[in-house]
Amino acid sequence: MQDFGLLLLNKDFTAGGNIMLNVTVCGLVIVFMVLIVLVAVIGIFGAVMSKSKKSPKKENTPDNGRDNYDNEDEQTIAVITAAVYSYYDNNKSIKPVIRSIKPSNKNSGRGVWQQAGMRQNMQPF
Amino acid sequence: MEFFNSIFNTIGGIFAASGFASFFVGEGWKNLIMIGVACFFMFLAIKKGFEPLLLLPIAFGMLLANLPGANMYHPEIWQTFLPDGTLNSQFWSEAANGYHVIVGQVLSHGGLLDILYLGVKLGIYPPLIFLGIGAMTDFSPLISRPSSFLLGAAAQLGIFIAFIGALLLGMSPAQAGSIGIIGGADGPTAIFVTSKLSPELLGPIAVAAYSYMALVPVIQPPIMRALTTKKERLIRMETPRPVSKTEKIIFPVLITVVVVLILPDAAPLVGMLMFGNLLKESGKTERLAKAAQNELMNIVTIFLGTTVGATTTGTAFLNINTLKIVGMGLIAFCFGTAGGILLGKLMCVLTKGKINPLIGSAGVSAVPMAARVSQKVGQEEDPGNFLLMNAMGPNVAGVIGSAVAAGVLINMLG
Repeated sequence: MQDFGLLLLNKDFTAGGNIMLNVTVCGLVIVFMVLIVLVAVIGIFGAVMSKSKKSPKKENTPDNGRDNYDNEDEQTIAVITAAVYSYYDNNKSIKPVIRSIKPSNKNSGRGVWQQAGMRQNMQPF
Repeated sequence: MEFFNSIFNTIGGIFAASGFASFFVGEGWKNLIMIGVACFFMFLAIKKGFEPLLLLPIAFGMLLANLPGANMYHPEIWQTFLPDGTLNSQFWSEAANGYHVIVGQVLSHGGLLDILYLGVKLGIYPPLIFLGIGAMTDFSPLISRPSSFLLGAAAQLGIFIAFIGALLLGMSPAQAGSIGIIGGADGPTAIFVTSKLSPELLGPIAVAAYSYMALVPVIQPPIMRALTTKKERLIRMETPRPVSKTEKIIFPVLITVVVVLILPDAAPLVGMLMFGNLLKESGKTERLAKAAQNELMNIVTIFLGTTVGATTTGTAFLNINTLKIVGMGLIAFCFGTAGGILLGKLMCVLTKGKINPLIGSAGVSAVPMAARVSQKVGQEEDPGNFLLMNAMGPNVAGVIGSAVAAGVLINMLG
């Protein structure tokens, strides 16, 4: 069981005199060493993954002068458009046309809806 | 007259053979105190809601083990050596790599709780609990910000400070290691390490570990406030980047391979944690993931809780060592929190204020309570600040960190 420890420590590891210092220093060093290795491995892995994610996207992006929306975005646009139309529903002289939708970055950078979503996501915790 | 004498003798004999009389013989009064402690724990679990899923089984196991004559748990089976110093050869055998309990003898002579305790003794329950934890944990915050691993490492400082403290209080190195691991703030890890290093302390260490875990919201905030400035507490962090499904699937495999190759002693805990996570993230084994996080986890929790509670017999619990364990456990928790916060401050400086040091305290495991405490303390200063997802990174890193620390202690002291 102590082979690994003996590789790192001197021979009188079990003698008792230095055990306090040895276990503390070596323990902390090994814990940090293992987790630093994990930082490096996961960091490299994350970088590789995000690269491989970005490259095919560029190739497949149709450049037709319009913003690209996936299904989810289209749903969001539909919801926002419906909300704007319903807001102006009583005033028949105004016929709104949605030309673009941009996120608002006022104050905190996190809108009311985002904050509400955040709270909802964190409720289980 | 003879008739009455006979009746008195019969009634007296029944009373003398009953459990009541045992309370007044030798150290029987200690059992009475432990029954009181068990009732107090049940009150905390049911009325106050302190970790009820664990505290209630522990408390009931404690009650059963301290009822004289119940014979559900026999501490004498689990003593490797008899009081005269010779090997307890009826239940233990000596092998080249140490002493082993003779399972067949336990099955033949043990009570129900002795048989269930084999799962603790043989190191089966804690890894199974880790399987369930893995199936419930989302490692995305850690994958999106790998530097969180460092905070999970720094929060293990408490383990080694408590180790030093326990040695200074006259405990053996193996006992000191078991006491130190309370600072990992992870019940199954504490039980796993203690069952390997110093099983005689299992009861008090498990009770201390779970009690302090329930008290995380009380212990941590004052330390967090003392070690950080208002400016630091107000730092808003970026939302972690979204993590792809592929990354989530590869992560547990990668962690298992790397950690187990570096530190094989951490394999039972880290391996099962990551296996549980793979079941969840693969998307193809939903039934297994659900079984791991519900049925299996619940069954093992009942077995683990009652048997750990059963080890807290009066003589094993009511002694000076328990006080040392409780004291050192608190120190371990405090230094663990401080270690995470201090490294968080360093990372804050190095990243020019992008990291809020409050997330460092979540590096002690206690998932998700420690992360919730970071969120709460952050929101006290700025209600619009959401640190929870950022704190979940160090929090789950703490689980891996404490499993690694457990492997280190078992390797060096086992």
